[in-house]
Amino acid sequence: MHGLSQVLGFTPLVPVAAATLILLIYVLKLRDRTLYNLVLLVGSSLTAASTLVVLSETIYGGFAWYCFGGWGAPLGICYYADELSAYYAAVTSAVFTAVAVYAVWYSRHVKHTALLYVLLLLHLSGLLAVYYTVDLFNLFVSLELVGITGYSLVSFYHYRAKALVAAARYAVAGGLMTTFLLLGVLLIYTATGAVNIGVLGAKLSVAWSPPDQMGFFNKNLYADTSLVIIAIAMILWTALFISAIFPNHFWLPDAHSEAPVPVSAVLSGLTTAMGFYVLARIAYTVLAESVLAGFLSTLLPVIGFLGIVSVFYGAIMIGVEDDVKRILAYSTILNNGYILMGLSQGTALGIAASLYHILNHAVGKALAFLCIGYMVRRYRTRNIYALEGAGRAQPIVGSVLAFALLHLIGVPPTSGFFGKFYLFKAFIDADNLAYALVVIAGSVISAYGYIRVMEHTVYVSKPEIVGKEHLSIIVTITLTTLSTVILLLGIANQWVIDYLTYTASTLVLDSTVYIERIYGLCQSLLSTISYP
Amino acid sequence: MNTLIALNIIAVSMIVNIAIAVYGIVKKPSMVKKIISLGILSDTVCLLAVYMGFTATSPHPPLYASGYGAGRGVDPVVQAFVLTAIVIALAFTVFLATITLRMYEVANSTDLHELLKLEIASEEIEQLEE
Amino acid sequence: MRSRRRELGIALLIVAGITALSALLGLMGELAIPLTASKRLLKELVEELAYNPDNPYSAFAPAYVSAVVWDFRGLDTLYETIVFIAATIFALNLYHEYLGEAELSRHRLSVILQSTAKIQIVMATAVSASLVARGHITPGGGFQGGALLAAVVIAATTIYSLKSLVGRFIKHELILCLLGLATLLLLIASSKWAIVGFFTRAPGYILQNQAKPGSLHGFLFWDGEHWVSGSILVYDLIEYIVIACGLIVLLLVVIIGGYRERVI
Repeated sequence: MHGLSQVLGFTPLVPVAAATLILLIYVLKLRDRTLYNLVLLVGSSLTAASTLVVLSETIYGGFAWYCFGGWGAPLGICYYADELSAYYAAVTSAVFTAVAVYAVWYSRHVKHTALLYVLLLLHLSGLLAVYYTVDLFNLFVSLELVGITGYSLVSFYHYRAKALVAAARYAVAGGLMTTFLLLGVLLIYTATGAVNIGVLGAKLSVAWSPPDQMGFFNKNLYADTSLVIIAIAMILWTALFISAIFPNHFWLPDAHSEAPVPVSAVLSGLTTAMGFYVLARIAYTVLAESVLAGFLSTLLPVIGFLGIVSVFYGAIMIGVEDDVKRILAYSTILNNGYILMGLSQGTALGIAASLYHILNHAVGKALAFLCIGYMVRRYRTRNIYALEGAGRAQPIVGSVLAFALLHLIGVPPTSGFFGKFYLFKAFIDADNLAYALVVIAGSVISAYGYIRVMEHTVYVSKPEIVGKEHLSIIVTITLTTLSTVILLLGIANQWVIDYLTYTASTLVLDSTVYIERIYGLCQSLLSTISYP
Repeated sequence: MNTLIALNIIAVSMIVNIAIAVYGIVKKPSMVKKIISLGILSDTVCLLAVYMGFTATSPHPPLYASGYGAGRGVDPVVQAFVLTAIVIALAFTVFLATITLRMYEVANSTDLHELLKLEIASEEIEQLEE
Repeated sequence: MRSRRRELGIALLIVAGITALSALLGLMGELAIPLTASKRLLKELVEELAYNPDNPYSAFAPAYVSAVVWDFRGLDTLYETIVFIAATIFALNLYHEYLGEAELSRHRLSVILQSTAKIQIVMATAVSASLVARGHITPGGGFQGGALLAAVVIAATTIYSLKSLVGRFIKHELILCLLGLATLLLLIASSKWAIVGFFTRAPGYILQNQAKPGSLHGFLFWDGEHWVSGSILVYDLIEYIVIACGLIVLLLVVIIGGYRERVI
């Protein structure tokens, strides 16, 4: 479909409405846990449904747009969903719904459940707003929303000093980075007069010159392109911070291990993928066929190198840590390194493989965190040696955890194997043997760490840890759903990678499509100002 | 030329201010000093934004009073950016202040670098009171 | 003494460096950060469309900044308010119990201050109300009025002591209820035309202010001097309540929390 989509406009506001409802129930003192659970589940499933509707509107060449206030771009803010944005948003809200079901069970003993749900829903809303927006300043505001809710969620257990310290470090560094993002957006506005990504791309583009009735899309910049380069460098640096790429990874192990388990799953799997979206949008839509293409071609190998360093750093640290949640946090750094290597390739298959890996990582990491969370909740410890025997005492959780870890290592027939295989193939196709070898080396080194976790938590049997506790039905449903998704993705991997290759090829090989469609949105602005 | 030097003094001093604020955030160990430096940073960026909206030929406020019309006044879009950025910075500062207060209550110190180096409690069996 | 002199030396060095650099750039005829505002098309478009009695699609707000904040880029303001509410919720998570039960300070300031404060509090409240009510015509708006009201309340607690005000005039439950209701109102107000349009089959946009081609809902009224946009006033009032309640809760949390005995 190619049109105005009301669903797109309401999609990021549905979680906000659910959060407001929970807040009202909390302050009006009708504090009933079932009410909170109901609103959370209804809100997140409605959001997932609407992102899937938007995805269906954009499959294979469609797009959807919604201009807030009725003002077309670039005067107003528009949401625009092409295949890439719709894919990211659908993955985010689907995984979030699964984690929300788990959170209903997990928060049975949390004191301020309502506030946890409110912050989680606002976090989801911020993520969706980042993926759909066309406006750089709206991107900044949505990133700040994700940030503030993220910092608050990390320090949710506020009686633990480590959680507070982790949240404080994350917050100070994040505040610094987002202020630099703001400075970058302002410098871009000064130099080009545009905060809209489409208008910015059109101004910088060398491949497209439209008939311009309003004067926005002309090619003259008001200042030197060096100012634009500095601004874009700041924006990309912030994106790399959000994705925890070396050397901006220092906040991640503490923050993701001290957060409550559903929060860790959301932060590790979904929030770190946001940086990759910003990177892909700026690098491939704005910079690819523009006057700054030389800057891009020197930037991508540097980014790829940072990805390689993250892979090795994450893989080595998995094997030496003793805290089971920290191990999973370092595994996030490892997988983000893989994704960045794929993104920096510049070919359609490379980007498609990294998009596939984002999906694999989100589902697998969420599953691993949920299983570990069950064990941590039951045995009240995070040490890998103290959790020995936990998998045997609760076989369902143990076997699902083993399956999730195999998926993260990349063992066939799980979907993780196919993700790494396509990454490998993309590097071989681009004659980049070094990157391909790094994929294999990273998998081998990290396999040691994952197998160590499996050995201690699942395989070892300690007779004194007895008593098979009755597993809550919610946990069973969540774990089996996510495992089934992994199996289905493994079976259907060819279709998935074909669709993602199509998505990536529109992003990489035909980047002016985005800009042309934003130009089309400006026509609706013309009809409001040309009133005689 | 005098106006050029004056405008340059404003712009260069704001850039130096940003550098000093970043130094303060990274190097100073106390949380309170970090909060102050972050405040300086965000306020200076907002001020730089207002500076970037300045039109030297018609420096009037962006209002519809009689006599003003299109092209007569400073840039209102940048001022809208600044309004939003200030509210967000306010929310962030309040968040950091609350977390510093709580850190002082729980860990008896507001020194972030020292707390990061401290091995707080043993990792073996952690008490998760929930 | 030595560190004082060293700091003074560094400060003088920085000032000298700035002056030298800007003089150098000025003599070369360049600006450090170029001023390009007069050439920007977006600025001209805003000025043309913010208050244009000849164009019924314009925003009808004589203060262009209010038009940009609440009409053209209303989504940014909505999200910024949500960010602020998220910070309030974080503080509630930490300190909600202490708000009701804590030991409150009885320290009050001198009689002179208490008498003059009676006049000043009334005047400041009036100023904040006028900032909000004229926010669409003059610079001002919901956020500034709300911040001023919160400052007035906190100044009153400093002058008249927390113990005499909190619990009698400042009730936490009431303020939190107002916060929740105002947030709900904000969401309803911003999407009313979209929801109404959904049911009556006439399209409406979220955060729509005046009529647009294809959607003929508008919110225009005559305030005696100009045609002004009514929905910006509504948004300003709601923002006033949200910011004032949120800031009062947050600042009370910090003040009460700071007075308590340190708990380990």
